[in-house]
Amino acid sequence: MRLKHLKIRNFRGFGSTEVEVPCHADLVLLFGPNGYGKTSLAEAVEWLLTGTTRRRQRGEEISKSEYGGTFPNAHNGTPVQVTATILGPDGADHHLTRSIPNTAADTVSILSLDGKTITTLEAVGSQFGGIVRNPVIAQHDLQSFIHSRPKERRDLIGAALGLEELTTLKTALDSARRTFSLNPPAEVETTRSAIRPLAPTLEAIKETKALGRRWQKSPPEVTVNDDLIALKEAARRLGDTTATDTATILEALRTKRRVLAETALDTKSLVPPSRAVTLDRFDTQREKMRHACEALSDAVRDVLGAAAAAYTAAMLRFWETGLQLTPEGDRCPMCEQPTLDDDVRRELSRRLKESQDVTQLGRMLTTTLETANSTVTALTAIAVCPPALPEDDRKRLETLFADDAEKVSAFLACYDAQTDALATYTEAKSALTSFLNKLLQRINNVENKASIEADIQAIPKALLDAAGKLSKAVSDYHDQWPVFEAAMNERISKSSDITEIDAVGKALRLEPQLRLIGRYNDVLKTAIAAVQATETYLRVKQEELLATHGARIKALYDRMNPGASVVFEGMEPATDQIRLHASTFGKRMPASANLSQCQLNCLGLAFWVDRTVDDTSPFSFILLDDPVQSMDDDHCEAFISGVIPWLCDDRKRQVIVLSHERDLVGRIRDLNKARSTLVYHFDEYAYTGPTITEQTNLNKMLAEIRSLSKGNEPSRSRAVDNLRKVVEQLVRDLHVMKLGTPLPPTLNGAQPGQLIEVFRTLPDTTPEDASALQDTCNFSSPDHHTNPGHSVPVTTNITPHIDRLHNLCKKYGLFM
Amino acid sequence: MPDEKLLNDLIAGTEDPAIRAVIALGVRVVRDPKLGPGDYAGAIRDGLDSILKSATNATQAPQDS
Repeated sequence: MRLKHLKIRNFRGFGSTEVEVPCHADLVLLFGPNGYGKTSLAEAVEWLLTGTTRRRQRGEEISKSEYGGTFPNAHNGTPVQVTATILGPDGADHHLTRSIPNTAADTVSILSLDGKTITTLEAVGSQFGGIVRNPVIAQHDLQSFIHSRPKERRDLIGAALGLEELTTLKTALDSARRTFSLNPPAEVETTRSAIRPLAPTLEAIKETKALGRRWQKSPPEVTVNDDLIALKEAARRLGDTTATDTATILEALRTKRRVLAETALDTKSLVPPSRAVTLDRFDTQREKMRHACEALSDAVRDVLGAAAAAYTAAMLRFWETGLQLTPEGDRCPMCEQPTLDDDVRRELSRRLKESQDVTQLGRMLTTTLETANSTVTALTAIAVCPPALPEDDRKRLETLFADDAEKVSAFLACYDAQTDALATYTEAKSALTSFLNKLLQRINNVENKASIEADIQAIPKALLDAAGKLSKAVSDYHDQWPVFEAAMNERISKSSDITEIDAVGKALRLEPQLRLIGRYNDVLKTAIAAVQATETYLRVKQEELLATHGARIKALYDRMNPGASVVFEGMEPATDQIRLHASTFGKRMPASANLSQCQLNCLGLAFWVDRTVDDTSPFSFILLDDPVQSMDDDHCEAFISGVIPWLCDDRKRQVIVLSHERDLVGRIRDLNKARSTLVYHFDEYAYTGPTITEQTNLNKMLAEIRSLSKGNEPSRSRAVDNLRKVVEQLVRDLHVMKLGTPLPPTLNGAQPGQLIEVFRTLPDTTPEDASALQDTCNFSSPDHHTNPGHSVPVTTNITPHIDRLHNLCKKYGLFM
Repeated sequence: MPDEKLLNDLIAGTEDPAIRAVIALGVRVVRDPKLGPGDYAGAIRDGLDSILKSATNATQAPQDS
């Protein structure tokens, strides 16, 4: 497969203007300044054939992302398309086109062969005589080979040897294995999170000590079979069972846990309140209440004594009213009899005075009663001890002390004494409250005097006695609690079995998830083994290929390094790399560290060229993008004179070279005059892309003129006409060479005289040469040989002009 | 030597069926015309997940008792 014609549009540096590059020659040489699109042209060919570029695929994901979306031109023109006319091994022309249907997803492209869509070029590889290998040697391939780390260089060499797909497989497997290891499936992460908190408890259990340690690592290390054996062993002991199946073991654990849970009790209900905060306050308040009740008793006694000798307050008010109605005289307003004499009036006044005294005592009684009430309320508000122990807790406590009933019995008696005292106290408090609430009502009836006098003594005393007993019972409980608490905690601590049962039970219930982790570990190990198997196989194949390709690569290298004192000696596979050996004066040494950049450039070139011209490749062309970038002149010359003819003649390849060095291109052209050659120049670079023009071969034009000048009259006439065309091309080529740009478009179709004036302005030209060119232009003017009266010049007259132009082309370095 | 033969020989030369299955998975992925090199690792990773999932489904589903 040879390239015959190339058309590029909107790809990489190529813009909306479609660029056509005819390639129907053995040698196609393209030169131009940096940044004018040479590498874009190389990548266009690579992309056309493979759908991607090696530069796009290189490096890790971040590096790759930088190249994302860069196949379409930056100005987003459409269609993004590269088309090539290729000469197939069947001798027929074929049209190969690749385009991007959606520039937002530039990794997806459509390939067609002769208008028919195909999935990959590989699908028609057999049609072209072999598998598809990239015939493009990009400049960054040489750079990456030179500067890469040993392991990467090994992979690159592997790729160069034809193991690219195998290397890709190994890299992809390894990368997948890494993500599978670092970011496991959610179920695995969930299980890890579930078992990690159990690990400290399991470490404290003798059977599961080892797994407890491993599960505390990050991530937890699970060896599923060993771990399940250890968990079941612990579970059997904790659950008092000899069962072997997980369900039965778990049931035994549940039963054991239930029993243990029944013995557990909430000790908070047993803890007495602080002595200082409650009991001391209770005693203080009890004393206050006692004083209040005594005061109340006194007050009641006074009231009862006074009331017995007085009228009721209502009757007195009646009398008082009567006296006011009759301030003078002795007639009673009620009976209208003269009964209110002075004696009677005095007696009534005395009684009124006594009535007022009783009222005053009543007020004092009310105040005293309120004080007594508040002290009772304050006293009973103090929660001096807990309520009666719930029956369940009582049973748990008895179970906990099943082997020491006497101790728990004594404790419970003490506990019950305070709750019994509390009950009596509460009852007495209710009686006192009721008595106080009814006292004022009862005291108005003198018939109640005796019972009130009895109650005021007995009822407060009953409460004070009950409070005293309660205080004593609580105090006793305070004294006994610390001793009992210690004994109780000792027994409860044995119930830590519950914690262990919970940890082992939870872990055992996770058996399916643990088995999932086991399977995950197995898949991971398999993935690692698959990577290792691929790597081993790759190494074996490398060794095989190095045995054959190595000699060829060295031979190619030697073509570029004749007579060097430091030479590349060969390659040797190693564990994780391919060792490159160099030698100097019989001494062997690492090549990468001792070869110069120039020599490493030669070595990289030798690798890729050998890969590209492999016998199985369907491509009969090779494209070299800036192949000599790190080479000095001697190595360059060796490449030009030793490798390019070998590629053309021995390997029958069409050679396409891209370079920024005009001299390199010129030299290749000079040394390959016998071959068909096309030379292109990247003239300029604009928004719409590069302008690429073919460089006419002045030497070839002059040779044709010389041949024509020896012919008949029509031939000589054409020879004279063509002399003028050579002058025009000479000026155009010299303009490009001296100024780096083509003639401006305004000079397209310019008269010879105008071009001679341009020649005069170019650097390093002489007036004599300008005059000589003007003379040849005048000689070749149609007026001198085509108009009537003029004859066509003879050979001897034409030859001096041919020689003059030849010398000028040579002088100004215009021969390619 | 054609690459296809290399890959087929690699699979055929691997004795362990599990390892062979993983390598075959990788070969299928790198040969899938719909995928680019940037997708290979992700596609193989999905395949590893599927292998794990199929093994899990073959046994009793986890239950939290």
